[in-house]
Amino acid sequence: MTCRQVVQLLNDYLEGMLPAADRQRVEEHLAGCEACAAFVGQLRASRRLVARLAEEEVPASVKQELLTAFRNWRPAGLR
Amino acid sequence: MKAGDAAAFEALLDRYHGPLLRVALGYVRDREAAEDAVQETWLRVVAGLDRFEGRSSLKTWIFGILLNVARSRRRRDRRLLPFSALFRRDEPGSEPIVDPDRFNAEGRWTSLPDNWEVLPEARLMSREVLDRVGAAIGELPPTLREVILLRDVAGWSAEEAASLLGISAANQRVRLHRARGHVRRVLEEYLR
Ligand SMILES: [Zn+2]
Repeated sequence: MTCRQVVQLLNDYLEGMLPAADRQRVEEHLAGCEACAAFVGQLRASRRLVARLAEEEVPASVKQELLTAFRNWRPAGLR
Repeated sequence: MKAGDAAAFEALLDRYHGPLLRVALGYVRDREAAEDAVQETWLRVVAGLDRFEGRSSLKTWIFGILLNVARSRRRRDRRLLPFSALFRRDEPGSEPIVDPDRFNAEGRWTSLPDNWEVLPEARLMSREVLDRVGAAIGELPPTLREVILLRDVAGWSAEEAASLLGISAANQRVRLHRARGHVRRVLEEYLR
């Protein structure tokens, strides 16, 4: 497998979606190819960064407002 | 929760508010509109809790509401977009995962990818890099953007994302491959 072919398979590899034979060939390639190993590292780091985007606190005012809405809510049967 | 357990609701807010906001940002024009869409989503969640029957998970249900709210707002916003914004030829996400000229005739790398593991964590995870990542996702076409938002921002599984978006497993994979490829590419240029 060439580097050019390997990079096309790496997302499926990270997804755990490659058939066993392909996975093994990719892993063998990665073990012996620093460039492709660095490329996988870039993909993994990108994912980590994207995940960080979701780390955001609920602003206190928004939280209070929503909690008040929740407390005012009653199951339909009790209305 | 149905009995009015405010602590459980607060835990839900803490857990999903950030991911919901990020996903909403993928649909509407700006942050203010996204905050608004998330607020409306939570209010609908509160109002609908007594009708939630647990056939889907709470998470799926909440994000399903968000997608409805955000998509209808996008349709409204779209009328306000300049014509040029709707048609782009060099659409991000349609480029090759790696430029073909980075490989030689034997298919080996000629210009090697940088090893980001040697970068200081503070540099890699800095605010400016995160902002660049957010922008890279923002410039993707909506079909690719929603997949990477659900998968990598909201942390959904491949099956959950495909089912919520109503697309096939194969389609989900292809879109994710291209979306992640674009983000990596943008970062590689930025961090070089
Ligand atoms: Zn290689």
